[in-house]
Parts: sequence; structure tokens; C-alpha cells
Amino acid sequence: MGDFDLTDVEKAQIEADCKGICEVSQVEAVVMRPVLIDDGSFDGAAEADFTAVMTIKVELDMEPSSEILEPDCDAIADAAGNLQEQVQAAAAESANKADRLVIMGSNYRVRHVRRFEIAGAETFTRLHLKREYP
Amino acid sequence: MNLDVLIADLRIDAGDETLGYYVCRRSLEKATAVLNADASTSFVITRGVGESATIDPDPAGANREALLLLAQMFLVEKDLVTSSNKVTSWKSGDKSVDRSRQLLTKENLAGSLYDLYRKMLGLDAVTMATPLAYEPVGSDSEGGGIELG
Repeated sequence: MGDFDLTDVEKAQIEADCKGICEVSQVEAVVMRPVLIDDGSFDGAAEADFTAVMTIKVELDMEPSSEILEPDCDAIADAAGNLQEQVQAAAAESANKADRLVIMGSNYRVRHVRRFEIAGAETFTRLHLKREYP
Repeated sequence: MNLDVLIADLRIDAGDETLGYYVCRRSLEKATAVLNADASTSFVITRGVGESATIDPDPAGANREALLLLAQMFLVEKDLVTSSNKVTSWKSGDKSVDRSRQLLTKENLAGSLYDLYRKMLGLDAVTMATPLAYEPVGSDSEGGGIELG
């Protein structure tokens, strides 16, 4: 085994450590998925409503440093494990296809999803968020 | 003496009252063997579990405390073995964990407990032997260095 290979036990331990870090603040985010109507029409899809997909625990940073924040985003939320397949992000031009996060009563649109791992251990998923105002 | 009494004291000394029975018992068994060799005692832990397990004769005074110190040291060593099988440090993105100092702290604790045990029995403290092949003539230091040439 090479220096940077991890056993399944070690991966599980790192993932558990990271889960502890991400969830220590006990902030919950409800992932809301838009229900699109007229998708494919000339005018583009429209949001009919949102449906709650799941609730995740996140480490929320509302004033992240510019080095880790994608352009045109306001906050980041880190969730344990790999959520890349489970959370839909979308760029500004197709913003209505993106999942929303409801965190402490505020709405955020998911702009980017970035997965972090170390030697095969799925550590956390970083969600770059744009604040939405009603 | 009922072994449960010693195990209760060991849990208090170790600062963890949730320690498992067999973990404590194993530490006391090892401690008994070492204490018997060091202090020419003849403590025996009988077979059986719970109230049927006893340690004979009753450990008392310095021997009792020495036995508990040694058992506590074995608990720390067991913890060290468990910790050394884990990933001590990792970093992913801006998140990181560093447990390397914990290992050092546990090593120091085990050493301190063993020193205290030996002091309690009136034994010499164990120090790391430094090989000395040559000692300059007229040196202020004492010791049995071998003068070469």
C-alpha cells in the first residue's frame, strides 16, 4: 500500500471527523427543488413551485474570504459527504433550475457545487450560495 | 477483595466511568503480574465475572495504589495503541484535524504514571540510558565513562 492509500476504516474515520466539523453548529438547510413548467418552450421554463427534497446539516459561512468564494455568490454552506449528485446547481442564465436552500428562514440559490475529497475519502461538499430576496 | 471495587476506583482514577469491565480487568491483570514481579507480592485475580471475581490477598496501602497506577498506565497504553491505528492528521480544503499532540500527551501521561508507580514502591526512576564511550579526563561529571586511548 502506498503512502497515500487509505484503508476503508481510515476513510470512514476521516469522513466521520469531517461530518463532526460540518455539523457542529447544528444549522439545518432545507433543499428545495423547483418544479418547472413549460420546460423546452421558446420562452424557457418557468418555476411553478418548490418542493422540499431533503434536509441537510451545514456549516454556514455568510462572510467567506474571497479566495474560497465563487464570483457572484454571497455565502457558502459546507455539508458532510458527497452531495454533488443530490443538489442541483445552475448558473445565472438558467437560475430557475437551481435548487434553493432555506436556512434559518432565508432563501439562497445554489450557484455552484464543489466536492472535496482526500485520497478517496469523501470529506464534504461546498455549496456556493446567492441570497434571494422575496 | 471483590474485583469490582478496584475496577470502580480505576474508572474514577482514569476519569472515565464508562470504561468497560473487561478493559479494566485486563489492565488490572497485567498490573498484577508486573507488581508481583517488582514488589515480590503474590496477588492473584481469580476467574469469574462480576461479584465472583476477586483479587487475593486484599491489596492495601501503597501496593493498592501502585496497582491502580499501573493499571491506569496500561489503560493509557491501550488507548495509545488504538490511536496509533487511526489517521492522526488530515486536511481537506479548509478543514483539518490534527491529533498528533494527543499521542504525545498520552505518551507523556503513561511515562508519568509509571514514574509515580516506581516512586510509590521506592524503586529507582527509570531513565533513558545514554551510552557513554568516552569521558574527557578532568570532567566535572560523575559516572563510569570508559577512557579510551
